[in-house]
Amino acid sequence: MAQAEHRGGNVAADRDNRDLVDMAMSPAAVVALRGDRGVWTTARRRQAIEGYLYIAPWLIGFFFLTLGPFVASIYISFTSYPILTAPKWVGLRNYVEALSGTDELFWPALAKTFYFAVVSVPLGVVGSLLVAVLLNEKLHGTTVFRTLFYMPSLVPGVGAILLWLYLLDPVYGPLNAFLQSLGIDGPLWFQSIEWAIPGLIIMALWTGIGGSRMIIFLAGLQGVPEELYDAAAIDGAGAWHRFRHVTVPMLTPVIFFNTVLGIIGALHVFATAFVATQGGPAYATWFIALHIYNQAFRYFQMGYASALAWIFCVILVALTLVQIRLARVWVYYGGER
Amino acid sequence: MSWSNGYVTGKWPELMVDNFKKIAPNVTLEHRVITFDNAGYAKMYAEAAAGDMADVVPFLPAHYQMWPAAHRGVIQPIDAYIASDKWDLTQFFAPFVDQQRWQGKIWGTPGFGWTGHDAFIMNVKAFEEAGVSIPASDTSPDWTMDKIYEMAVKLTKPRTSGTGDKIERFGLQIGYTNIQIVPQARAFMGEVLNKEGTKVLLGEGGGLKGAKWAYDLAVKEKAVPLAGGFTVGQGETLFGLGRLAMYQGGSLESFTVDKVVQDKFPVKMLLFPKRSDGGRPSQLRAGSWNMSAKTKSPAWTFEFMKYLSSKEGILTFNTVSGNGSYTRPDVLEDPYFKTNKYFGLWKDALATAMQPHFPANYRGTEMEDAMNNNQQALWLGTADWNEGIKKTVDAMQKVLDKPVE
Repeated sequence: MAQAEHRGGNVAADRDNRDLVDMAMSPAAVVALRGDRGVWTTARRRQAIEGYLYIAPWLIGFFFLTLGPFVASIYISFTSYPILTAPKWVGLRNYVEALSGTDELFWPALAKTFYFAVVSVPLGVVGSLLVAVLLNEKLHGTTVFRTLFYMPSLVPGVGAILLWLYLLDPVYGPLNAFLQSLGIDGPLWFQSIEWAIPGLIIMALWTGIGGSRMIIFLAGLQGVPEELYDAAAIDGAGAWHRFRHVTVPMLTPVIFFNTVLGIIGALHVFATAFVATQGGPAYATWFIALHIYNQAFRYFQMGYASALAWIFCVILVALTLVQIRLARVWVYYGGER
Repeated sequence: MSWSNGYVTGKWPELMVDNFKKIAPNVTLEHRVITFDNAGYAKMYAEAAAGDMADVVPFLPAHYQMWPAAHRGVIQPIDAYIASDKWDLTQFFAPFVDQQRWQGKIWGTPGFGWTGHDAFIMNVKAFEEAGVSIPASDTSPDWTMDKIYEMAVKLTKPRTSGTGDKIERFGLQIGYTNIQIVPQARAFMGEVLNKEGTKVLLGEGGGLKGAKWAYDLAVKEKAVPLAGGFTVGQGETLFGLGRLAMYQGGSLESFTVDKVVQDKFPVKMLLFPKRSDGGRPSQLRAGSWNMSAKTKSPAWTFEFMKYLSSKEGILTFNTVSGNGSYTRPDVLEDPYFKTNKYFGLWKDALATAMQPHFPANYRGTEMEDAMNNNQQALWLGTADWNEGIKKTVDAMQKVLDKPVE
């Protein structure tokens, strides 16, 4: 007990020391410690100017190419703006058109996007985790498999889409030919209203399971202390129990991170539908990002497209906040929720 | 001076730039490559908004783009330049010049164009196998839309062994997109849109008959590959494999079909059957070289537009890039066209070529999206005919009823 207290005391002292070091690294802390808040030495001023100069290219890009259009789009969303004439203020008309269902494609597009995300993200996250667990085993040839699994994510997006268009071609495609050889009538895939989204999900999983998500899981797995597995093994835990009660809890921050990014990424699904299906057939893959793109760059309705983008942005932020809130229930940081 | 071009890449643009340097040695001509799809138009609009659009630009009537570009003040009429130059417009086929007109002015030079998907391309061997005879000419009494329907059904051959699709050979590839459905509607004396571009006519009269003709072939008879899911290019590939007996195409196929067929079977082409009024079902699809509204050198800009639309410009557009474009009669005298075994058909097609109708509110792309997606649902069998065609017409009309912006 005393030893534990002693150890705990040391940990607390260490943490205090680290905090001090961290604070000491911050210029604000230096100023605060000295008690000369607001006093700029010539050296510090030069250092600050140099710092800002170094990040100036990024700052300029951020303010003019990201933040500027971002803020401008708020105003544009309340206007009618066909690009070449000045925006005309229309108040809430664009928002009402989308939310009231006057735009008959808005809610279905959102629903299809969520369908894509709800299926592809859990499958993708679980798939990446399982592949990472397998590749974390210290067996011969693991590095080869790691490379092989990572390779699909390196294929340029459009190239991967064209490849899958061929693989899932209902007439020429090898997959349907294989199914036919088993006596199964393959679906029409991207020519079918029911199978177009599953086809896109398969495509997303092919590139997604073994990509950067798998690497992040691998890094997370290598951070799980070996002693925990040893202790569990001594307590008689088998492979499944070690995975269930050690690996998964220890990886929950990584699972949470991958899930949040996965959902945001999946809800932005665009390129595959844009190239493979153009939103069809019969609006089956008319996702919200494609709807926004079409309004902006094919129909040149920038005002309405901006309103759609903002509605979508609010939905994304709300969804992310819900996930962060829920994370308190199931994500463990250093053994604590 | 600058020129945006996305239609033909490779040697032809370089040739145009090099040749124009000989005409105007002191003029610097910058060639900008754009993609010739909606992204290309969006790029040109963005350039126009930034005051940096090229002097010569292609806003194609065939893509519903010339009229909105004129309406938005991006391009300018060229009547004054034509008049001061005494440029002879009779050097072109009249329908292509007519397609450059809007609100009584001319907005571009007819640098390229064709009469659309106004023909059927046939695999003679497949016809012989199926015991179906091909009429000698498109004026034969055996060449009617009803007869073509019957032929397509007879030519469709189910697969009896092996893997893959259940149909070994499809009778006919047609589509429900604007480029294909307008000639179909016109073959039945109907229209998809009225001339003013304010009302959808697909749900009535000949428009409805044309749509039903195509729908029945696709859904009821299953004579059409994947219910029309194939695009035109894919149809050509299927045709080359001998899995498609006939497809709806146009003059461009005169120069491409032999590449996919590779002497595997003889090919015959016939234009759509003539209508009772003597008209040939077609939809002229014109290209256009337009002048930027803000060009700083209009005289040279016009000079270059003229060059692109000259005999040399249009002939090389075809000979260098393998096209089948014919906006002026004199190019047809060239061996490139004269020696082509299929092209002869189109010499006469121009006399009765029909103009496209475009939405009065300039929302052509949006209307096409509504048409294509709703027609797809119909052809894929998720809606019955009456419900599906009504939904298609309503969706298209809803777009036409939107305000002009």
